[in-house]
Amino acid sequence: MSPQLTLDPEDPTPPYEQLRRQLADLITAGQLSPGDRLPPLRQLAGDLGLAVGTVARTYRELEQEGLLTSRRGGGTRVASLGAPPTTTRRRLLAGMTRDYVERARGLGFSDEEIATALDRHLPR
Amino acid sequence: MSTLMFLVLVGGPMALTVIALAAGSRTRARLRASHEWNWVRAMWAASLIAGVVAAWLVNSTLDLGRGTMLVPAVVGLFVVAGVGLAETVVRPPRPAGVRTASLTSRRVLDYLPRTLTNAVVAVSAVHVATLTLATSTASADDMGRAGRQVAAQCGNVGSAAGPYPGSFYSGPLALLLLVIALATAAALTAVVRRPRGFAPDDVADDVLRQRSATRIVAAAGAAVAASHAGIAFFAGTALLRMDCQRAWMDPVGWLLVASVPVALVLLGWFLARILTPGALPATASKEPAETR
Repeated sequence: MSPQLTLDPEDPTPPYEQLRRQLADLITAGQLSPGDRLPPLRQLAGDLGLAVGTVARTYRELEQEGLLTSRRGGGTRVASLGAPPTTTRRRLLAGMTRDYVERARGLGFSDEEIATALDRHLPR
Repeated sequence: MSTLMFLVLVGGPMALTVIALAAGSRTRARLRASHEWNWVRAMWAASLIAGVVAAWLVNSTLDLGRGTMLVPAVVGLFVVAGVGLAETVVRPPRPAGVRTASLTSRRVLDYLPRTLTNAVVAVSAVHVATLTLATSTASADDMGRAGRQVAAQCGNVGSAAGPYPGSFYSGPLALLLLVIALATAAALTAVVRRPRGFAPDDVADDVLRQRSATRIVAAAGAAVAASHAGIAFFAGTALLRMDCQRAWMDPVGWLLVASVPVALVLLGWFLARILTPGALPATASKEPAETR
């Protein structure tokens, strides 16, 4: 099954940033491999109910970060430089864990409760 | 003639587009599948009526049977336009909330029904071959009108038969067939680009898209098959009526006549495929009309 992008109209984060973050994470985590072709701007914009320019901005920013490459007639593909070295993947996971812990602590949960909740979601 | 052809090729589909846009704006106000389905069927009926009116206009304006030869293709063009518009413009509103998109690129080829598409390609190839053969073997008639009859000379005896679909008939018909091909390609592209979100999940969304593509391909096939039945009948019977024939005329004449019932059977199948992918829903639901 191919990866999915989601767009939450209620989220205060601008749509192009929501997409940019998800695509960057998918590339960094290795869900999208170097050379994988992304859908055309119009298709993605239509599916998500966005203006074509919004998706174009996302692609452009990811190109500037070196994660995507665009070629006339060849579409937009994941750049070979965007291959996920193990350390980058680990760094992504560490960042997500840090966000989770900080958010839970901010809401008053103890470290023990946080660990227990995480443990419950990782059945062995 | 050129003004009439312009009116038929441009004015007719434009009128259908206006009807479809009106239907689309009405369906946006409601989310009932049965309501949308009614608009889709109304669109088909409108295109058929517009096609019959346009064909009647063409038939009564163009002389020497040229209008008659174009009738099936004119009706077919309107059916393709109507089915295409119904599948792309008349759509329900998209539900609010979180939207999702797959990162897989959609291609027209992925949604074409294989057997139906092969049949449409085959009948189109036979039709184009028939028109090419007729155009290249036709002669001028006794009034000097090029491409109106077929003629042969056996010693001192000459023979001719018409109407025969030479350039006199095949020129405008080729233009119409080209427009039908372009309209089909445009409708298929629009269906594939149609946003996700009208079905509960991606699988159902793909099914909807396949059904839309099926209807459009079937409409194109119906236009070509109807046109071929008429052209093959006139070409085949003209060749068989010749008192003096060249060697190829008799077998080709019989082949063309034999292809008429085949084209008619295919026409029936294509028309059935336009109708069958969407039976009436048992109950109105939030799902799109074609998930019924």
